[in-house]
Formats: sequence, structure tokens, C-alpha cells
Amino acid sequence: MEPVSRRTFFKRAGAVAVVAGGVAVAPASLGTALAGASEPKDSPLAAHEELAHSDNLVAHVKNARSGEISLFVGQREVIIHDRTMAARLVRATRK
Amino acid sequence: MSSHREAPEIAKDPVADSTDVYAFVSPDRPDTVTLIANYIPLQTPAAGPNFYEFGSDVLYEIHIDNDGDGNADVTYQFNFTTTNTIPSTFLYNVGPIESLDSANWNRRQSYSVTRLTEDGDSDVLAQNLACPPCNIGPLSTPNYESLASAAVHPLDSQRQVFAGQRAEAFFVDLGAIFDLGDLRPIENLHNTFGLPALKAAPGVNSTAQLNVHSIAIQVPITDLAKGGKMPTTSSLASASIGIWTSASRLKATVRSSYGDPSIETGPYVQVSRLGNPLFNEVLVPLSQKDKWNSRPPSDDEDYAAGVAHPELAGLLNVLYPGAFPHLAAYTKPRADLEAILLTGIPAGVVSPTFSTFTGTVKADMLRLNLAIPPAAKPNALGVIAGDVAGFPNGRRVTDDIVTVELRAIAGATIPLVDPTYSPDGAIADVSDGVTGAGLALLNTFPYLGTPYSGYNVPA
Repeated sequence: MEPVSRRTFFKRAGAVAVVAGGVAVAPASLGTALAGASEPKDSPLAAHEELAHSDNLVAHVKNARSGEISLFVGQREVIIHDRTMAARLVRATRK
Repeated sequence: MSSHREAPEIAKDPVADSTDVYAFVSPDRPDTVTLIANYIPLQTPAAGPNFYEFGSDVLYEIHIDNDGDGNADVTYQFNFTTTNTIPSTFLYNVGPIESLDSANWNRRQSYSVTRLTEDGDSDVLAQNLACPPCNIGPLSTPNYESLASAAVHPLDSQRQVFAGQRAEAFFVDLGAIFDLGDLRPIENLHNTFGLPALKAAPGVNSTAQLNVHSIAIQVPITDLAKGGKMPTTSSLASASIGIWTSASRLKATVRSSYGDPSIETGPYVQVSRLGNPLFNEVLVPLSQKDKWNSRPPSDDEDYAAGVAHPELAGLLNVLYPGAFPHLAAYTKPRADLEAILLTGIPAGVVSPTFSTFTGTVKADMLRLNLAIPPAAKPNALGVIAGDVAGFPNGRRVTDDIVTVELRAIAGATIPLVDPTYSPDGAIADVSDGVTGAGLALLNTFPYLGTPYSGYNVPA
């Protein structure tokens, strides 16, 4: 049998991070943000921090000036406020 | 109507579009309540090659409020999974489907049922329950009734569930009503905007011979009542519950190019809601309908003004000049409609023992008094015709809710709260002229009839 639930169909894309507005971002940087402020911001993800294989991570910069970013992963939404990260994402759209 | 394609955005998402909610004390098992939520409106039976199905990316829920705060105390969740058993074929089925495990049936659905409570309890009642196929025709589904019967799943000795295609039981003259409020039986009174006059005519059932997808569950009254106790005094607020359905989708979707899989993630967000029939359809402004769909009943105070001063009541006076002089002169807030739709009808209004009142919180919920037994001889006009086991005390599949609500908005129920008001003489003729006569219903769960087959309809 081949389950074709749209939900599982969608998940087959694998771990992909997308910023609303059309910019793809490496999962590592957002994953670090999810892990908490105490983690070194520029270090690669440790093995135990990586996203589950079936999880996608989608980021939505809701307000670049205030740094409000919604992160969607699994069936959760995590809202962070990081003006530096928001600024980096906005600047990345101009490359 | 009653909530078919009722809001601009949800009309584009039929899989998540609730169409009707029914809730009634089961006539053949009066210690139980039957809850039915219909989705996917206006299905043409001849629907191949891709037949209608539930959304496996949609969370379907039926909610119960048993303490009058407009929030769910008990919720039944239904999650669907779709499977292709024969990936190489383009067909829905490659031979007759004679059983729910037929090897000829390619694309099929199953579902789980979970019961949640306000306390945070989550109980998976069943998993991998089979849906029946759609009714295709004499070659593909030669004995449809047996397939549907096999898809009625007992959860235990008292509870049973069904999810699948059914014949549409809702009846309404959509074509006339949404042609500027034309009610064919009294269209001779319509102002016609200067166009040629119309002659009174019988109504036309726009939903005749169409299908829907139904989620039906039958549970003991004690599963729903406050404190799990069987209510015995119908006049008490604790005897009545509020019911509504909702559909939710995952919050974030990113579509991919070149046929690559898209991404859907995040928490579920509500995109559709339905309690009382016609509430969002008729009483909420078009610009607010999709927002209303996303909100819980406990927020409905924000929409109470549309109930207290319904636009449709004013339109009746414009569209049918001179037919409703008493209604035209009535300027008080419509406490009758607020009671019927937002708080329930307190004891003493209809009779000392009749009540659907759940409390003062204004919330659009279909209210059902659990202590009122089923009627021996149901009247499709329900409470306004003296049958206290019918709408707006719950809703049975035979209730003529269009006529009841049109007459209520036209003033028929004002005397319940304002004895000085006398309804207009035209009230008795207010109707879309359609009845449920001839509907093929079942006497037992899930009560809605066998869906029309694509081979036979359209003939």
C-alpha cells in the first residue's frame, strides 16, 4: 500500500527552511535560534540539535523592524524576536 | 445554505467547508445523542475519475460546550488517511467493490477518532476505521447499502461512528433566495426592482439529488452532559449543551515548483465553523464571514449586533413592500433571535419546562436539551409548530430550518419575548416553498440516506 495523505506527501520534501518572501535559508541558523540564546549563534548544529528527518522548518518574518519571526516546525509555531537575524534575512534577499 | 459555500474564502476550499450540523436525541436509542457534521458541499454524483473524499490534511472536529461559556468541554476529532493500493492504475477501482477490503478498490480512506476534554484528557477511541467508497454505479458499487452498512463502526456497545458519502438531506431553494431574496411562493409580492412582475410559484430544491460527506457519531448522553450525569430536569440550564463543528488546516504552506512536494507545517488553525444553520450565511457581513469562520463561539458577542438588528429583516420590508408592516415598525433589538441563536431560549418563554438556555454568554451554538425525549411524530417546523424535540432544540435531519429561520427573522418569534407584537399576516406564507418530502432517509444511524450514484444521477 502507498499512503498518500497530503500531509505525508508534503513532508516528503525533507528538511527545508523557507522564509516567507521568497528567500531560502540554511536550517542551521534558524535551528540555532530555536535551540536558545545560550547556544553559540554561528556554530554548526550538533547532531542532537538537527531537525527530525520528516520535519520541515518554515520561517515567516512578520516584522523585520521589530525582529518578530514565526518559525513553523512539526505542528508547532515558535515566535522569536531577533532584530539581528531579521536584518540578516532581509539583507539576504538583496543578494 | 445552511452553510454551503457561505464565505468567500472557504467556498474555494470545499474539503474544509462545513455544510450542516445535526444534533438530536437518537429516536431509536433515546439514551444517546447523534452528532452529524457534513462537509464538501453540493457534490454532483457523477464525479469520476476523482471522486470526493475527506481532506487528509484537514482536522475535523465536533465540539460540545456543556457549561455555557462558548468553549469546548468535549471535542471529537477525526483524522483521515488516504491510501492508493494499486499505484500503477489511473482508476479509482479496477473492478466491482464488493467489500471494504476489496482488492479492486484503489483509492480509499480510513480515519481515527479521538475524544478530548477540557481537562486535557485525550482518548483515541478508534483507529484505521474504513470509510465506504463513493457511490459510483451498478458496476463499481453494486451493493452500496452493504458497503455503507459495513462502514458503521461500533466503538463499543453504546457508541458508533460513520464517515463517508451520504445523500444531501438539506433542502433549500438556493436559486431563488439568492436572486435578491426571491421566495417563489410569495414572489408575486416582490418589488422586482421595476422589472416585470413575477407570479407565485412552488419552490425548487437546489440541493436535490446531490451528495455530501458526513461525519456521524452516536454517543451516550452522559458522554456529553456536564459532569457526565444524565439530565432529568429540562428547565435547568445544565440540561442543554451547545454543539458546533470546525475544520482546521496547518498554518504554513509553501508550494513547490516542477511538481516537487510542497511543505505544510505548523499548528492547526481553524478555517471553518458551523453551529446554527444560516448564522454565518445570513447574519454575518460578507466582509467578516471568513474571519468569523476562524473564531470560537465564545467570541460571538462581536457579531451580536447582526442578530439584534438583522439586515434580512430590513430587506424583507424593501423586497416585499407592504407585506410586513408590523415588522417594519418594530425597532427594538431582536431578543427572540438572540435567545434562539446566541444564548438558548430560557425556561418559561415557550413553556415552563422547555429550555435550550445554556447561559448568558452569547455564542452561536446549536443547542440541544438532553432531557427532552424524541418526538413520536416529528414536525419539520419544530418548536414553532409545537414539536419541542425539533429545531431550534437541536436539529434533526428532517427539520425545515430554512422556513423556521425565515419566519423567525420575519417576526414570527417576536411574541415569545414581546407579547405586544403581532406577526404580520404574510408570515404564514414565508417559505422558500421546499420541503423534505421524498428524502430517502434511514431510520437508524447514521440516518442520512444512501448517496446518489453517478450512474443514475444525472439520468
